[in-house]
Amino acid sequence: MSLRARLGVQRGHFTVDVDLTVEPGHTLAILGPNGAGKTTILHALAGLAHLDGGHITVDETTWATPETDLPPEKRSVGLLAADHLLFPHLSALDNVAFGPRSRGTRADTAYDIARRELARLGLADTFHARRPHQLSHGQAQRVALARALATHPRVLLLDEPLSALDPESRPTVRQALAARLADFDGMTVLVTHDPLDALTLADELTFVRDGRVVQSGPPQQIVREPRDPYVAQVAGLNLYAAGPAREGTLHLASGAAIVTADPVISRENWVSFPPSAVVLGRHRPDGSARNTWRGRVARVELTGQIARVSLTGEVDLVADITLGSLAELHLAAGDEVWASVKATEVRAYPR
Amino acid sequence: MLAATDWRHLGAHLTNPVVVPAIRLSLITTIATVALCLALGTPLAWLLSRRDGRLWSWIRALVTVPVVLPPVVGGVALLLAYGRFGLVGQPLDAATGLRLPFTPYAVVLAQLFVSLPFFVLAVEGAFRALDPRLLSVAGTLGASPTRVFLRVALPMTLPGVMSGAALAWARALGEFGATITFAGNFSGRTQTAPLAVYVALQADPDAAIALSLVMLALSIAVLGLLRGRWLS
Amino acid sequence: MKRLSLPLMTAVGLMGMTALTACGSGSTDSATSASAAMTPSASSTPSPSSTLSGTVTVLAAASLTESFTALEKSFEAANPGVDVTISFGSSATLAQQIAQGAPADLYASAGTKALDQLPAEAKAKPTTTLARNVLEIATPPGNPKKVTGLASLADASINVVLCAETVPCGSAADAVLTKAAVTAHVVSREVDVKATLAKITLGEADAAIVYHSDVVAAGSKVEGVEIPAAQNTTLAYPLVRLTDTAATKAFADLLASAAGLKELEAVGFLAP
Repeated sequence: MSLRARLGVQRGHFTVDVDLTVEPGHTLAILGPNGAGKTTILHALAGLAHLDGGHITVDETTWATPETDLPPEKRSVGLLAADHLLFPHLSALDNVAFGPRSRGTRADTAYDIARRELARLGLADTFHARRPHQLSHGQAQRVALARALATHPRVLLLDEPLSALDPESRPTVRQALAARLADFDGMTVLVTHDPLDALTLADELTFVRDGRVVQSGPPQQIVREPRDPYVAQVAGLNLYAAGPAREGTLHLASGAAIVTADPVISRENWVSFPPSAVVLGRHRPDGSARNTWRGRVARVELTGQIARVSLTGEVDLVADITLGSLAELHLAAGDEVWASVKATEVRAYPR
Repeated sequence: MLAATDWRHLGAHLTNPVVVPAIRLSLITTIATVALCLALGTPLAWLLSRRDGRLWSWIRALVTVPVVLPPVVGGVALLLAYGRFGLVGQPLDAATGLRLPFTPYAVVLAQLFVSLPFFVLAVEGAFRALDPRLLSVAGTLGASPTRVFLRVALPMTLPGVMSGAALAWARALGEFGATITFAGNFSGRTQTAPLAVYVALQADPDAAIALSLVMLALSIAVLGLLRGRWLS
Repeated sequence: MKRLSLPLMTAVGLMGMTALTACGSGSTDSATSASAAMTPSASSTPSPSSTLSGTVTVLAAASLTESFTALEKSFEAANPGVDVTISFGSSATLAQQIAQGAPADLYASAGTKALDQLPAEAKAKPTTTLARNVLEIATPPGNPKKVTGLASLADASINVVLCAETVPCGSAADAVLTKAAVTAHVVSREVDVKATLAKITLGEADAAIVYHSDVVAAGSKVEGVEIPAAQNTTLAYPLVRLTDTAATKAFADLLASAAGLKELEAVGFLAP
């Protein structure tokens, strides 16, 4: 009882070829840069794109192969996109009841389902009669979620569900979505480019780039051991490909050396360290840090009490320093600085 | 036209034995034509808006031809198709004994021929302007293609369909060339208002003006009614 | 234009010269400058070209299409300076157009009824009768429904088309049917005689009442069934000369000449 799929879709010169597995009650988040093929994956699952290879199997039923295609209305799916896509000529309640009615449920039962789904998402009776244009963005998106769930789909497809919302309503809807997914017993596939959505809503993450899976696994593992620059960026880590280690020292592709306290046995490795582990100074440090590199400030950004400094040099990296440090160092773009990282902060794992 | 109207005898002209049947026939046949446009043209426009490829481009071209065809040529084409010796007319006559020319059915057919393309093009445009994602969502909610059409596409394009119907009605009401060529001209049976105007103009211009005035008033009334409701 | 004979061409040339003699009536036509005065009978050597010039606008009944077109060609060949333009249509419609101020030099009507619609000043203009016409029943080739006369037209299995009541061929048909006490099974009243005949040639109708000239003009596409003189009616074709230019007079004279009548007879008209 699960969703198992290998999706091969050809779009001109662009090929999507990914494997997915989602267990009941679980949420799989698909992350990737724009144009990675995320939406194509959702369309293939929904039946809006034809499979050129592979298969989609849900609860031992085959939904699609290159030869057979169950049309969207025959698949048990619910789809929620960035835009709510509510039917403008129907009230909120009619929108939610549309799915059950379309699947042959009697009118009174369908409206009971619709009322219940709206209530579960915190939408009171006063909203029932409103047309989509009379709802706020956040309310409309919750109605749309209720509509997607009202058919009791086995597979719920969420396509950037929060990306079109304003910053004020986003947390509310994210919370309502998280709560609702917690007691949803079907399989959920969430496409997003927002790490926060992925980390708060998903049980499994799959990163895709250029139509292929670059890394997948539970969020904790991915955050700890990214294996792709994009994944590292999402996880907020500095990541480098390195060769074999000699006495704890590895050499990066750029030729720079990096020292780790981790035991290393593989010939091909990834090394990573968090930006917060980087200490910056105007002069060459003489402390205990084993890794010291000279670099030039490319950019400084502020988020709250933290300043994120991007450096280019022997090793390109980002460093998070306190506002206090920033004020003390007087850093500006083009300045030369020294960066140091303790060997114990550097993680190394097989590539 | 208003200046040329003989107001004192307007009443007498309007009750002229030719005028009343012509107006009545025009109303009945144009309403029938619009009903047929809605029944046949709406699904056709829907299919045209949803399908691509060579076959459908050909069908669209075929549907569009009467727009550029002089109506009289259309009437000749209809005669060749549905006339007594026509491609369809002859078997139809043999099978059912139904002969279309010189009947009100021929009037409706001629009006349908010239007004359907206007209707289909207008409504197809309305369907194409729909957000296709709304239609996909309806599909994922379990709606069959028919239900998507009836419950989502149609209600959302109702203003477009109505303005298409108004356009078709106006075109049908003014239809002259195809009607006189295909259906003939016989008071009470196939003589619609424009035909009556044309014939009356030769003998009794005042009656023709009076009849034209009625058509003008009728058109303005119907379009005004539609504008208030749908076309604003 | 096979029918256009050499004698006719000669006659046209003569006409051109006749026009020269007739000028001096105050017309501003360029022909007034011509000083030569001849009478047609006195002239034994036809001039190959005339000095007539200007335009002649003719509004003529649709049934005159073939004959007038032929006469126009020959007239223009003999008078290169003159441009004759003929607009054919229903007599009533054309009379309407004249009443509305349409520019016209000559008006040829089928029947005299349409003349009533001319403005008063036009009614006072010189009028001559060009030809006569009689009604005839037209049927598809081979007369498949075996139409023998007016009485056949009452048969409900025979679809009859007539001209509209408002055009001469329509009112004449009504008159003939009334006289014969026949209620015809009429399915349509067409706007003019050509449209009426088209319903026969297309095979949609079984019989039509049109003019003998129309049956002749349609050639083998229709077959005529004569209406006996006792039941028939005669239609006169009056020509109204609305202006006095030399070119207009010349063309009017050609239409009313023996050569003109010959051309009219060739397409089924009778002498006046």
